[in-house]
Amino acid sequence: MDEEEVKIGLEVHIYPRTECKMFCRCSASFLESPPNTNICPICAGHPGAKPMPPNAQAVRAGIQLAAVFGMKAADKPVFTMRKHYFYPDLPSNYQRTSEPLAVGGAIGECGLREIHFEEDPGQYDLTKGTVDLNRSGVPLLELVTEPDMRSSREARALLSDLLLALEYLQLSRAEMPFKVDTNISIGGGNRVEVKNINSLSGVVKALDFEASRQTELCSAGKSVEQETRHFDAVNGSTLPLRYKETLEDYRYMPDPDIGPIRTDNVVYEQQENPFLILKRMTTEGISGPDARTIIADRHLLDAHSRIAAVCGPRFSSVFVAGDIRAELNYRKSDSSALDSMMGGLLEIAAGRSSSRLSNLNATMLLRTLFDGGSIHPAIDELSGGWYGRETINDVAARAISEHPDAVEKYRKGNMEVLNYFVGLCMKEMRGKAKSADIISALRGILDADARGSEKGK
Amino acid sequence: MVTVPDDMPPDTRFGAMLDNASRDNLNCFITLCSPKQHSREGRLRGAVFGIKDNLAVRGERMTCASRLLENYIAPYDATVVKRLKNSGALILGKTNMDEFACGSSGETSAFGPTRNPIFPGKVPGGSSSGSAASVAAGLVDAAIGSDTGGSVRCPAAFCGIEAFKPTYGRVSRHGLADMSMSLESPAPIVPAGSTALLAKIIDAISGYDEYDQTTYGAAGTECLRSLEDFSLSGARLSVPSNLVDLCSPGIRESFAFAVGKLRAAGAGIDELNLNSARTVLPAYYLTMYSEFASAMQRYDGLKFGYRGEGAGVGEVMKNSRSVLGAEVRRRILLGTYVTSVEGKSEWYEKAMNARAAIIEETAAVLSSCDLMILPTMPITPYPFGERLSDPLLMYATDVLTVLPNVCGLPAGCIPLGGGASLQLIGARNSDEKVVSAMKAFSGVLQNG
Repeated sequence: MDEEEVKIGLEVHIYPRTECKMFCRCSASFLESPPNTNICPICAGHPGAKPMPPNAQAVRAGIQLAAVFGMKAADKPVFTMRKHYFYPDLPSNYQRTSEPLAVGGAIGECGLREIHFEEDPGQYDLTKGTVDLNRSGVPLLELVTEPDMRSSREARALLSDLLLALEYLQLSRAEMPFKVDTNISIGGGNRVEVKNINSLSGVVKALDFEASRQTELCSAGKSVEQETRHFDAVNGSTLPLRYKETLEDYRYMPDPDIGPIRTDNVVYEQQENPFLILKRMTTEGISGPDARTIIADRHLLDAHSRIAAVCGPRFSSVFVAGDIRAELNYRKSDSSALDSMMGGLLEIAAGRSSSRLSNLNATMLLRTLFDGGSIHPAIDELSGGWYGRETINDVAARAISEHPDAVEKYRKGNMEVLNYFVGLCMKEMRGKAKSADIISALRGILDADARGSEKGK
Repeated sequence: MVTVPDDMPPDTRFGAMLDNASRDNLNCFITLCSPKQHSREGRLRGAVFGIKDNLAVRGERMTCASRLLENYIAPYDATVVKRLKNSGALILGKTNMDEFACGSSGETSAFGPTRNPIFPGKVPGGSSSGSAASVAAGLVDAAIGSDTGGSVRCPAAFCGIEAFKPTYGRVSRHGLADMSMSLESPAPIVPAGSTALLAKIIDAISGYDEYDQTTYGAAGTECLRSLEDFSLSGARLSVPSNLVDLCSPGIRESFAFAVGKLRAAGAGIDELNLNSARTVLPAYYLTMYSEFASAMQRYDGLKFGYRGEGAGVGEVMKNSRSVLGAEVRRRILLGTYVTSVEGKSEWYEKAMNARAAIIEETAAVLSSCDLMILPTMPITPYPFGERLSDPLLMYATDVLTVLPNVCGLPAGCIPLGGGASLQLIGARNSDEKVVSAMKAFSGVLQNG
């Protein structure tokens, strides 16, 4: 497939982190509630119920996100429009969707068209014929890109960057940051929309599937139909919608019940641009993936900055993004737990980075800490009482004299034997010696022996 | 009907009035409410109300006089209803109306037309027909209607009583089933000469409501406190002559007679021509159609109200909506067309522009006088069926009442006798002035 010919644009529906729905006080967390319990006359569209003002947290999240990507905030009042269409999951049979909060800007190389807020409809189960309105009215921010992407890889990169910003600024819902509609065309052909993909890997699969499906059609001399398809997450394929979408007239009009909102008086805490932090961290020698992992989580970032101050950024990034995160993942625990462990984490990190703690012991102590136990006095024991050069030399000499067959192998050039000896010595000294010191002691003895025996010849 | 004395204990009196209402032969009520424990204190303590059936009263039916909502029970109180209850008022029943407020005569209700207690055989006016008729018949002390283009002033005029449409945003619309959101307001109706009660009601129901973001101002109105403040001596009243010219000879005569008395009482009368006279009715109807079609989208038979038969969702929706009456369907179709891609620039946008021009002109007129006065209705009550078959003939009767709705202005009306009525329009937010003028005018017009 010729990548130059592919054009991809995305419509990303972000679930902003809000307490309430867009136009009422029902909870925006709808996943846990039994059907139709998280509703009120407003979000269920009862006769006479009027919307409350647009959720300020959602509006603020939109403005804040727009600023990260250099989008230009609307310079005139923003109206909330009614988009009319009949569908069972839409209580009023119109959806409230705002004019753009901001336009322009870019994520990486891909231009952005606009961002606006809207309300999510309820959920319609076609097979059962039931509707659950718990989700009805939940805030969404829709970010629309230009069709500037040329491959699923670029789409993935864009979404990763978006996710980084959302997570760093804590703007999206943790359990479900966004769902994506993709638009893809090949060789200037018709545009196909694939709707409602709710994972990053799903977007990649859907785009790859569509690209090859459309390429096959083209090479068979057939034309690609302009249509909307849905994504089958199980098979990683796309299918035509059961019902063909007719060209709809949504009869957009400003909602008379909702006053215009201004974007210039939206106040939010100014925070460093996450991409500047990313750049700084990679300059310090931290790997891109580790840096992203850390930036995406405030507690990891906080732990990193404190550990880096003592142990240096590179050590800290590996310790935080690797060791600490592994423990969190293993326990499926929230990173906010780190705050109360900070003292212990710093001690372990300091011990490990200065090699006073072996890898093994550091891991063991981390587990104790995460299990809620105390690392004292174990850490002092494990990092104190390290054997000095003389003892190490003695232990090394004894190991060598007790294993003449291994020495023989070493002499024949088998360097693996060295590790075997290090293990023996470590065991003997219960981990309280640096492996580098043991190796130099072993080498000293073995190579001196070798020189001695050569002389003897 | 038994006369129920005012000085009975509230509970006994409510029972007696309920008894009267149950024998009502005017078809004023769609639902009679059972006595409920409301607040026993407040400025409206014991006052018995009829509530138009497009306002939500928790636990009671809200039909909007439509088969589609025949069995719909409102799960919450409209803000005005809640405030009335908190002020000690008692709610007797849900009053008849034109279906979804679509009508000016009280004839389009799915529950049958409301009859006029004052002019038998004539329409009571609409759309708040049952609210006005029940007040005129003495079945309730007062009623709340809704006014989108004259829907309380028209029936008040035809039933010889008083009504008042507040400034847009001064009374919450939360719980009022939408007809045209940018034009309407809940609005009180009281017997002739009961302007003090009217003032108390407005004071009780007005003020900011977090559930209606078009409301404003922390405090409510102070109509009762300023009830006696209007002085006719030296008052400047503007009369839009080219609107008065549209009235029947009988109405023009009554109006001229009233103006003469006001002048005699010391008021200065300025006659002027409004350029908006030609555009106000089309601007009103186009705006109303557009918003009405949008508001009516929700009635699909799936969530509440009547559910039609059908094989699929689309068919169920279609069959459910087909129980709507002819006038309701006409307005939905017109509104859908007016806001479609095809009709938008030709109709909707022109109406919005015209509305802006009307608001500007009217504000300028009102900035140089105290009030604008004109008749409420261009004709006297007419026989049933006379205009029902010709919508344009029916719409034309709204020509004098729609101006305050298009501009969001306060407007009251007082009876002149014989089915004629005088309308007073004030500047935005001058509700107190309009109500006090109603009081002052009533004194002069009755004593002359």
